[in-house]
Formats: sequence, structure tokens, C-alpha cells
Amino acid sequence: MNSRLNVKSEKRTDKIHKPSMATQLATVWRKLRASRLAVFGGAIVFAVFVVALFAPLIAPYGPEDRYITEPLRPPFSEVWLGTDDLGRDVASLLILGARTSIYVGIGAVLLEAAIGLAIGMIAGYFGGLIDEVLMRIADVVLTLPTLMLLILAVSMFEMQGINVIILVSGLLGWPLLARVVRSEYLSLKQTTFVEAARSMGAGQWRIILRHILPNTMSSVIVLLTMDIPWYIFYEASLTFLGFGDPTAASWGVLMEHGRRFLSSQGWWIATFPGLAILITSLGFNLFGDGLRDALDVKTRVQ
Amino acid sequence: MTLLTYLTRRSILIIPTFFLITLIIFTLIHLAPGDPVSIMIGTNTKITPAEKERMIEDFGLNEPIHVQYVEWLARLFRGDLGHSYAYHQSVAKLVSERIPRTLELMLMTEVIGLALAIVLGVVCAVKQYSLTDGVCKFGALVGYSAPSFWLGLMGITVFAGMLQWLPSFGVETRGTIFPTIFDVWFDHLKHLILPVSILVFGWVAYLFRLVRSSMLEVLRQDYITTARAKGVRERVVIYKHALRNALLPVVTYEGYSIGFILAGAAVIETVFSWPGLGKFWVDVAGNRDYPTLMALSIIVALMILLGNLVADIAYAIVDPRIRYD
Repeated sequence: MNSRLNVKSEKRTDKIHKPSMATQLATVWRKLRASRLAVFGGAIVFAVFVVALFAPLIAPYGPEDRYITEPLRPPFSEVWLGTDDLGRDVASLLILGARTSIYVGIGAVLLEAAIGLAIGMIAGYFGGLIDEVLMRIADVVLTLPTLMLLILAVSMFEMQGINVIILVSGLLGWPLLARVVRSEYLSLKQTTFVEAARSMGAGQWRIILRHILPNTMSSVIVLLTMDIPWYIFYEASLTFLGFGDPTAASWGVLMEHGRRFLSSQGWWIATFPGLAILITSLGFNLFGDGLRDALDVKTRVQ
Repeated sequence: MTLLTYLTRRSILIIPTFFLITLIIFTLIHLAPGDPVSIMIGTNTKITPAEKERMIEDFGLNEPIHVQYVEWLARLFRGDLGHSYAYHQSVAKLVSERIPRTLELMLMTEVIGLALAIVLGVVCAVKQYSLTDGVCKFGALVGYSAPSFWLGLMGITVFAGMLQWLPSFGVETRGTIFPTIFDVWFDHLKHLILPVSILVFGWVAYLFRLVRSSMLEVLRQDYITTARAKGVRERVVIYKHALRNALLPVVTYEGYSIGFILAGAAVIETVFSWPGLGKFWVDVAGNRDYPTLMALSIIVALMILLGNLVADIAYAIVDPRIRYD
């Protein structure tokens, strides 16, 4: 009995040496599944991704298919979510709009991640004057009214509206991420494992990228997950205000279109895309909250 | 370093920030394809190319961008905001008419939102996991997941369309003569209810989470236990010992969020045809009205920077431990 226990514990110390990636993921997965709200949020996010990815296959009609029935048929009649004034299928337009929203959300978040990580790691690791300058820039960018600058940029550069939205919102969206990454680097660069790596002759970029970076991923992923709804909002707000391509399949365009029929016989045209945005961003927020708990990220940003 | 030198240093930082913001916007709008003269002329074929050249010269648009920027700055310091290309009026007049409309929305949102968020945040933190807490958390989740302009549309449909309780657009009922000044105010107040409620809902959703989590954190501190142990009444512990410290992050957030609220107001102003700065921004963004756009940018930049400064001052007052470096 005694010897068996010993063997077991020896084996275990061997394994503790470094928990594999799979083990870590399994732990996070278990914690995530334990939270009902997180599962709910994750399911929404998953569903929206699937819809966005296979939109043309799922949607029964295309964005230009007019007069599939009479125009302005109410929902839950022969068409599921009704038709608009041109007789287009609202449900199909919603499905195709999901693609636009997800495209903007993911594109902008990737740009934000690239800039925020780079600036945060440089400021946090090197410190001193570089840190001071970069963080002052972050302060300034943080206070800029993103939506107003987006309005300006999209109306000035009319071509490729959707890519301008991604570019500008990503360029303005990085400061909070940079702050978080910076503070992680500030504390992690003084830990023993970094010192050990340095004493073994690891170069500074190896330490920055291979040793510290993976340890910041939890907070980065949580932050980015909860930023996606913002970019979806921006795209919808801009197209709703009439900036960007009015013929694109987008939730904002559909709401702008449906606005005129709100008080008359077409309340559903603007109502459903708004609900779609609400549900999508609810999904990302719930999932982000769940991830934060599962990954054990500190709640306070600063 | 004293409080005064700290604040002086913070104020000095405003100057480069101000130039940076105006420079970014100036460059952005001047680099964009399409010039204001072509847009003004439009399809008018009576204007010859020579006349067009003269207009471009009159506006100083033939100079390089940096020269134009310096000239614009020089006029700005003489107090000259220029003449709107699109509205054919003095920009100063156009803008000054709209500032109070936006300030009205923003101030009401900030004040009502802050008050509500503090009350709800404290109640929910003290009674964590209670039914009230659950309802508030759910409300906040909806508040920051729903796009404000959609809530605006829904508000118009229900309260202006179906129930006919509230007006759906503008700041006053046109074409009606009111007997007394109070009726005029009451009419204006009715116009304020929908846009302000929607802005407040979104704003409280953010602030509430901040107050709640900050309060929860403070309530776990040792000095709170000490205060309770020595017999201080619970009400005093919460409102005097805990709340003051819990409000520190909220104060900073409030000041730094001017840009955020301003952007929210821009969308809501458009939905409700509210003649403020935000709607004006949306209106002129497309037509290359450089003088108006630049004047609006200055005001937006100043509002944001002022908000930051107020946040710094408030922070220094609320937190005596702050180090001024």
C-alpha cells in the first residue's frame, strides 16, 4: 500500500512539471460548462458564427430577391419574419447581415489585438521613456470619440466602407488592451521564471514572445471577446445613420430602411435586426463573463 | 509636489493633445478625395473652370496642407471660426446654437445616470445574490447589449406611436402657442423624456457594474470589518466608510467618458431629430464643409479634455493618498 502511494506521487510530480495544453484547456472547458450563463452565451456565439459562415446556404432568398410574396407581409404569416416594402424576405436579410457583423467584429478585433499587444508588450517590458510616451498616446487615443471619427472617415473615403470601418475602429480600439498587456508585462517580467530564462541566455525578444506572452493570453482573450460587440455596434450605427453601402446586407442598413415603416404597417423590419444585434452582443458578453471566471482573470481593468 | 503643480502639469498636457486631435482631423478631411468647391458647384454648368479656380484660391485650398493648417490656427487664435461652405452662415453662430442642446442631453444623462448607478450599485453590492441584485444585473446586461438607436426606435414606436404619450422628435412642438412659460418648459420636458431615458439606460448599465464591483471589493477590506467590529452602524459603514473609496474608479470613469457619451448622443440626436452637435456632425460629415467640421472638432476635443481635467481634479480631491507624479 505504502509503496503504491509512493509510486503514484512520483508519477504525479513528473506530470506537474508542466501541465499540457490539453489539460489546461480541459480545466477551462469544465469551468465554462459549469456556468449556465456562459454556456448560453457560448451557444449564441457559436450559432451566430455558423449562420455567418454558411449564410448564403442557409438563407432561403438572396438580398435582391424581391416580391417573394406581397410586400409588407407581417411575420408568422406565410413568411417566417415577414417581408419588407420591396417584398424581400426579412429572415434572409438577417441571416446575410450576420456575415457582415461578424466580419467587422472579427476583423477589427484582430487589428486591435495586433496593435494593442505590440504596444503593450513594448511599453511594459522596456519601461522608461518608451513606456511613458506610448502610454500618453494611449491616453489620448482612449478619449477620442470613436464613432464620430468613424462617421468622418467613412463619409470621406466612400469606397470600401466596411473595410474603412474595420481599419479605423481597430486603429482607435487598442488603448485598453495595451494597458492591460502592459501591466501584465510589468509584473511578469520580475518573476522567477523570466529570471531563469534570462540566466539561461534567452534573448529579450524570446522572453517577451515565448515566455511572457502566453501568460497574458487569458486577460487578452477575455477583453477581445467583449470588444467584438462594440465593433458590431459601430458597423450597425454607421450604416443606420446612412454611412456606408446602402445596398449591403447589414443589420444597420435594414434598420435604417425599416425606420420609415415603424409607425405604419411594418414594425418588424427595424425590430428584428435590432433584436439580432441585442442577442448577438448578449452572447458575446455572457460568454466573455464566463471566460473571465473560467480563466480566473482579475475583474478590475486598472 | 502640491495639488496645484499637479493640476498645472495636467492642464499643460492638454495643449499638445489639443493640437494632436485637430491635426489628425484636419489632415484626414483634407486628404480625402473630393474637394468642397466641386461639391458646392455640383451639377451647375454655368460656372467655368476659371471661376472654379478662383473659388479654390479664395478659400485658400490651393496651398499645401501644412500651410492651410497654420492659416487655420492663426484665424482660430483671432477668434475667427470662418464661414460655413454649406450653410452660408458664420460657423460660430451655427455651432453656438447647437451647443446648449447637446449639453442639456449630456448633463442630464451624466447626473441622472450617476445617481441611479450609485444607488443601484450600492444596494446590489450590499445584497449580493438577492433578487434585486439579479434583476439589476440582468437589466444592465440588456442595457449594454442593446444598440441605443434601436431602443430609440422602439421607444418612438411604443410611446409616441402606439400610446401617443410622448412626442417623437425635436425639442418643441412647432406651431403651438403656449399660454405661459411653464407650458413651454413642460412641452420641452416631454421632448426630453425619451432621448434622455435611452441615454441614461445605456449609461447606467456601464456605471452600475463599475459601482457594484468596486463596492464589493471595498466591502471585503479589513477596515470595513474593523468599523463593524467597533460597533459603527451598518448604514454609516456603507455610506461613509465604503462608498467614498468605492467611488474612486467611478469618478475617473465619469470624466474620461465624455467622448463616449458624446458619441452616444450623436446617434440618439439623429434618431430624435434633436438639433445638437452630434446630429450636426452627422449632417456635415458628408459635404466637405471644412470650417464647420473643424469648429465641431475643436468643441468636441475641448469637451473631452475638460472632462479629463475635471476627472483629475475630482480624483485628487476624493483620494488624499494620490501621489502627484
